[in-house]
Amino acid sequence: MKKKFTYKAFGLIFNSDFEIPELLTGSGDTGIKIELGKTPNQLQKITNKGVKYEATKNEFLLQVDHIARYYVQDGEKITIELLKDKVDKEVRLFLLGSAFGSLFLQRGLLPIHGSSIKFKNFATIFTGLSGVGKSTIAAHFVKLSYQALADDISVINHQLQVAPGFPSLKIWNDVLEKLEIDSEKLNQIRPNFKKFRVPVNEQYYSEPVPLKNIVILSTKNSPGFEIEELNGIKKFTAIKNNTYRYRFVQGLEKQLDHFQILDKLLPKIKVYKVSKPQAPLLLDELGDFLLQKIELNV
Amino acid sequence: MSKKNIIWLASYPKSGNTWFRIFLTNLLYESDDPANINDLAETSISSSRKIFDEYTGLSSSDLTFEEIDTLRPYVYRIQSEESNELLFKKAHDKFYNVNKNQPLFPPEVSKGVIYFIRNPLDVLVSFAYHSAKPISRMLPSLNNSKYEFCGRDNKLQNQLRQILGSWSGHVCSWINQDLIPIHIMRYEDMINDTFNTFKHAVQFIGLKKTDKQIKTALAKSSFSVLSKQEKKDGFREKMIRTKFFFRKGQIGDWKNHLSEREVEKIVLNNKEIMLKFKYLDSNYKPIF
Repeated sequence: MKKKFTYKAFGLIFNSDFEIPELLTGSGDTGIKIELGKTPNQLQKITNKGVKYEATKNEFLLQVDHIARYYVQDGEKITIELLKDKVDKEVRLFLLGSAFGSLFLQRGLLPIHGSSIKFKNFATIFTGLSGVGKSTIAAHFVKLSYQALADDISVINHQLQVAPGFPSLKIWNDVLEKLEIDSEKLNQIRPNFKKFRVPVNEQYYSEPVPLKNIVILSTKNSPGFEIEELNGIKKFTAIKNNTYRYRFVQGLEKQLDHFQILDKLLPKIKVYKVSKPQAPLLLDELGDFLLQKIELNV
Repeated sequence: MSKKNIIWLASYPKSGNTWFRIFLTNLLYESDDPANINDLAETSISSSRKIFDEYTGLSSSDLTFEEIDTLRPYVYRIQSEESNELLFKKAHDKFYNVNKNQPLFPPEVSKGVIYFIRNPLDVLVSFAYHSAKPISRMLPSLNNSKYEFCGRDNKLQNQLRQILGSWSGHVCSWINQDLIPIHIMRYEDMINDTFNTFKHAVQFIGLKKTDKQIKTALAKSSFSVLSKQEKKDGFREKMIRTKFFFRKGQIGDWKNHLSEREVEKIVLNNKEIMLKFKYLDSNYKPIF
């Protein structure tokens, strides 16, 4: 029998045909299957499609040219058809990104596009547009000895907790320099990419943590930081807009579950919009502002 | 079956594109008050990361510039397919092919392009101010055939990479393509013959609007209205180090800022196009 690799990530167990060194090992053989095999050329009864993906109410098919095709079924199984000779970090990068994202949505979970950090006994998710500095602020707090729960995708489970992902952050070179982290020994996320996987190891917290705050980071073209607590429709819209791959949700069998979590979650958490200057990158100042204004340590 | 419903609002920066987008918003919505300059919904930018990521299902931050370029035409195709209305998309990219036969801006879904052009001497002054750079540092960009926005590979920038090329290269790339119908608007005509110039653009787009509607939209988009709005609430498209986006908008302001040598450098590199668009007389002397 072929060797299987078992992992625990995002509160789920995965049984994989191949090694995924980014994830922490787990136990059990009844988890979500990750297999190498043939994927369909196209899906039938498509409910939603994009440039590189197709989705039905319980299937998702994504192609990343020259790398792999990912077929996700019923929130239970991911089949990968390689478009290159072997599984490598590029194949795993898109598995741990869009393919996992669609799996979470198929399972009715709420994946937020952002990184989360544990403050005291509660989780705070930092979200916002691509490039706004979600992983960057997470890396800053890790440097200050806080524990990381997830990077890029933060999954909120039915108990309204953030289910920890895996122990690394993806950080661009300019931020590494700012954080005084030497990139020489780090792994690039793809060959010739100046974006690195930074292990957080002992500063990773591997148990689910109740969610307390979602911070939507944004930039502004004036100096100083600003904070606004969002309520009512603004609060709902902000979370919806920052759901990982929100377009995938449309037409999903578990679309209702997704909204039920959101509905239960809204009264229990605080959502803030925090605006920071476009430039320069004032990490220490932003970190202090967040700690103070959101009372993250209280 | 694809439909042609995208209008590209293309230009080298600081050439009147934003003014036109505000006019268009006022023309399309016809609200009592002038449109909020911070809410130019109908005129999304074609280099948006958010749109790209949503429509491809991939994170642009995990892709190379070339991979992103290859996918961008498909994003526009899907956006076109999903919309029953005209889509206006601002672009600072030059017109080029992302691979052998595929232009970045796919002709099969493009109804047309409005190309905004402005005297490069004034562009230089305005662009330097907008970027909070001295003119001497900004000048080489206008003559740089490889000039890009958001082209750094060691950091994630807020928009997708855009290849602009030199000022002349940018103009030529758009006016010499024959795949998308083009309407050229000179900034100087937008200022000097405002009503007629905007009316021709409205006719090119195919919008059925009366002269009165156009005049009303123009009044709501006047420089004083925009400047007043910006002074009160700011403008999010302004760069952080710049005081105001809507600064002067004047024709010939370069005379107050450029040295003879700087004028020479721009003219030398761009004289064909400057001549063609009547920014130079036959003795290569600036007209405006």
